[in-house]
Amino acid sequence: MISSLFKQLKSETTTRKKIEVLKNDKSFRKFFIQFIFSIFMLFFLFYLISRAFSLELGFGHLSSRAGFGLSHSFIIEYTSNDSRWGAYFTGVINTIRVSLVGIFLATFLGVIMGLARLSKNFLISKISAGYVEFLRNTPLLVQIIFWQLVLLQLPQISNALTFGGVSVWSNRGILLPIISSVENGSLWVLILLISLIVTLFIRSYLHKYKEENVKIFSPNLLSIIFFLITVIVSYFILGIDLRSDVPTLEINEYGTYIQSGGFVLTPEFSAILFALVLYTGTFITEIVRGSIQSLPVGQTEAAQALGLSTYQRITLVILPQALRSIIPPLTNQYLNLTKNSSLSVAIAYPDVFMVSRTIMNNAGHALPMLFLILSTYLSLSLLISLIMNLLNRRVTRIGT
Amino acid sequence: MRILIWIKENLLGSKTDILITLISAYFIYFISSLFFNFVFTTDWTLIQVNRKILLVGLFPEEQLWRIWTVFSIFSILISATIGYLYKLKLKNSIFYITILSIPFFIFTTLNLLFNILIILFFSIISYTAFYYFKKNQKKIISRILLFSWIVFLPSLFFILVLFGGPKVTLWGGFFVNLILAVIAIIAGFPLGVFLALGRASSYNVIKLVSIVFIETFRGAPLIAWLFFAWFVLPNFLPNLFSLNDINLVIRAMIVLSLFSSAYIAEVIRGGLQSIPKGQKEAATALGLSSIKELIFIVLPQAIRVVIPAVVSTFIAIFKDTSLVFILGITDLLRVGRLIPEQQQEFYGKSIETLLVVALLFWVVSIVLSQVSRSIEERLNVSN
Amino acid sequence: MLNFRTKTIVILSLLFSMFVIFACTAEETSSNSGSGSNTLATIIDRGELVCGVNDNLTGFGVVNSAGQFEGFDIDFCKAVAAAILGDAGKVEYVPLTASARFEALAANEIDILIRNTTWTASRDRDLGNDFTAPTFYDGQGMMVKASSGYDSIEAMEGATVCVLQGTTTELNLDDRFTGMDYTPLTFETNDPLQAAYEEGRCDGWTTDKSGLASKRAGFSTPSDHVVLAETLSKEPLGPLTRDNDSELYDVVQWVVFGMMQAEESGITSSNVTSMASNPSDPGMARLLGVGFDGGEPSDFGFGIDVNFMQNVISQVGNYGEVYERHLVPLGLTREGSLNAQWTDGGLIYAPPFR
Repeated sequence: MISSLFKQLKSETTTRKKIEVLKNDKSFRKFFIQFIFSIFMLFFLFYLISRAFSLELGFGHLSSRAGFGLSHSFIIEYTSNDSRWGAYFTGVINTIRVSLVGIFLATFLGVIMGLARLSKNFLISKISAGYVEFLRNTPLLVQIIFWQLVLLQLPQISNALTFGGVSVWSNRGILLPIISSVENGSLWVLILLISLIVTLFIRSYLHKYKEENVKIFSPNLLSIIFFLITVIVSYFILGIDLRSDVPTLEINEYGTYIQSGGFVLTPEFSAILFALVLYTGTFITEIVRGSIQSLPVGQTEAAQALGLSTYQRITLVILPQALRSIIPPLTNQYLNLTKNSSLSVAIAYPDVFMVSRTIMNNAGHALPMLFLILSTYLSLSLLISLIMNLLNRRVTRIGT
Repeated sequence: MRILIWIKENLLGSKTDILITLISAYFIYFISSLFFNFVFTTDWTLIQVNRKILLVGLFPEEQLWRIWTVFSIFSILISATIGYLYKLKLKNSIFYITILSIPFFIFTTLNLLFNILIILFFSIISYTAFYYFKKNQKKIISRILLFSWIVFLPSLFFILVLFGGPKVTLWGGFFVNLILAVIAIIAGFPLGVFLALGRASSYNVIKLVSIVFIETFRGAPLIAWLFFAWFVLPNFLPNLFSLNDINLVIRAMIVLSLFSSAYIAEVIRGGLQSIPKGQKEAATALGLSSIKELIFIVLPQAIRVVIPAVVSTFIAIFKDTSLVFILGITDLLRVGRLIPEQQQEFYGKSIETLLVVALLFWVVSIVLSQVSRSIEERLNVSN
Repeated sequence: MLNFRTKTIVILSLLFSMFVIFACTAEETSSNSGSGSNTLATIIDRGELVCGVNDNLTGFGVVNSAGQFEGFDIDFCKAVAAAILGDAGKVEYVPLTASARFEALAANEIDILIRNTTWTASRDRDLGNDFTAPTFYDGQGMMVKASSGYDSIEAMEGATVCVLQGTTTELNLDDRFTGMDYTPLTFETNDPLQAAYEEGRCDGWTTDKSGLASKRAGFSTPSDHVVLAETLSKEPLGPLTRDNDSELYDVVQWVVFGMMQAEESGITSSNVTSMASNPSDPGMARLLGVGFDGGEPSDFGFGIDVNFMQNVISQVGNYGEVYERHLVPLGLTREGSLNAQWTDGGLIYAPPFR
């Protein structure tokens, strides 16, 4: 390409004609325009970087003692003596926690509401429509504040509702019984989850080998055995001592109510969760509805002709096919949910954004914190997109 | 008789159906009784007293004529556009009128009523005028309309700011939400188009820069961008025109525009991808240069396809303007939260203000989504 | 032959490069941090003082029903404006949240910050501010419900405490509760915090005692709430400017001192004009910027009118008047507190105007 260009240039005599040649050559034009553009971009970048030096840079401040407490810390026990990195990491865990639970619940709610919207039952169809119309058009922040106010209306802790000594409800949280371990309980649960995912992967690989006629004996059994081995081995290594943890409400010597044991659903966490689930659920409802409506009517008719019950029709015919077009917009909503969890700054739930604000307040360094937050959210988005892409590939593998 | 048959089929089909109907009916009853009980037993005077602060914040009384001017010009232009494009169906009109009258009744007082009636009168006149003249002098009318819109948008700013306009820091309430959304959309849309074109272009460098821009802005939540805009943006603006001294509302506008352009770019990219290749080939065959091909063939089709998605992005941006509280800007939601806290007599009435705030947002969003649905229908019919 | 397309490209690139070059070279003519700035000149040029304030703390900085700012700190803003520009009304108030105030000052968005801000070492150095003498000696306190029966911080073992984000309060709270179990609930704004405290979501509310007093006064039954006697920290509150902004800093500093001195000398807003026309001693003359016994008025070189204190006192008042106007209604009495004049055993002490 380039040699032919040069030949042409040489063949022309005047400079004017040479410029003509250059102008008309497409690849040169492309190169030239991109070259000019890059020069401008470099100037711009240079300008930005030189300006950036007037701000405080560097991440050193994150290693010093935090000095502030956080109301929610999960998996790792955070104290104010930890470094700011510890505080930041706690924030990340809080964000993941509310996003993960939110994603599951929102999907669940969205699918149910989507199906309800398309149901023949007039009432439930209208309820679903009303749900979408009202909660989709109200800002999420308003909904979060609303839920916080509502949850504050639960009785005060001195008048807490107890349900059979097993659960305690007050405006300081909902206490539920849980099975836990004295040591390493949450770590073990984490390992369980990870090994579950690994097991599923192993199972699919084993199935693939089986399809290719390699002699594998019952992939399902093998995977289950693998899972059980991981569970039992980690159980003993971590020294897990399972016991049921029933929440109790005690009054210490000064009259303060202490909630101990069990699993606490604080009003802050619940408010964010409810708001996120209900809000994102509306979008998921519409996605599910659109996706099911895009299926050819013949599918429903065929299923009915085959005599399948409504439940069978939905789970065996409709949903699997609808899944194919659901996943990309669904991924988008999951990403939105994760990013919207940052609105917990309005109420006292320490997610990663709120912790960054506190750190910035105490130590400045706004620009590095911005990069940190960007990277955190980008990594979370990447993770979610990756997982959903894998699912997408699996679901669209069969058929076209 | 027919009603009974309908009930039987739609509500009482099978055993599960009956169960669902019963549960739904109870649910509806429960929610509505809670709601109406609350609405009719609480004292709504705090809304009446705080009308002005909720709608325009601390905007000085004597300067309110500016907002009235902008509002009237806007509604006349909108009616003209509707008249030009459309014949209003009765069903739709009833819908819009009922929805828009809810905030109307909450917020109007006797002296405001006069202004509103005058605006309504002129809007109806402009609608009918454009509707009838469209038949005969389409070209002149369309030029007038286009010209008015192009002139209106910058003059919006001038009317509000020039000749002793109140400081931008005094802007507040619902007005701020509307202005931020409008500016973010107007500025974000062309930028988003450029980004989408860059993202889809074959020039690799331009593509790379577009991708970096879009993914960076979509990567962090808006509230983080707003927050950092406050602290970090002034350092990056050049010292010309004391730009690094600009106030918060302008900074919020800049950030919102950039953020919305990233989302709009993604939406339009989807539209660009959906255009069949044959279109481009036909354009080349006709001898159109690539820029002309872009403007006359590709863009109109791409945008038309994604109009519903674009409108839903607009609605999302409008709802997101409630996040500017983090900059300390007193938008509608912040005013609503401050009223029960700062005004002694309305102490503890947070849920009332929250409901009114939610209502105002809801009204605008619902109107916009209905508009998008009408546009969608119209396009499907014509296609 | 240059066609239309090439012409457009050339023109656009020329414009863009002009912009870039212009922007790059028009650097830091008036930078903010490091090399120093002269905000005083900017204020005089602009004809208005931009003051960072609170809009949500009764008694210190709040917006009244007429839409105007009023409060103890607001009055000091007015005093500085009266000193520099001769008119206490030439102020633009910028309400700021606690977590955003320092960055607003550093970003040149406001000229001075008078927003019940505590003077600490890290804020002085790390965040690049300069604090003037405190206008109010406060301390962090804890408010609890009277029904809880708490009588001291020690009794709050295991309690949940509501606190506002972005203040030294979080850090002081944590320091005080070392060795004790507690849960902090950190809120961004006061409205959800107040709701949480009232509904019993948290056992205590901690912030500066002045803030607690003002909030307590706003409750429907103030006697249901008790501010514990213990002070968790020293919280000297006062105005601040940016680092290396000496002209403005000196003016603000000496306006504050002038108001304190005026109270000590018995000059009030009602008698300042007569005092100015007939000062009873040289000290008073120097304070008010008039000559004594036919002599020349003393000009200390602040760069503003020599009689700035007359403007300040006539338009705003002396320290005692300002205090009485805003803080006494909250129940913050001066007698026996740190905020009494030094002659009464307090810490309000002005260096000599000489």
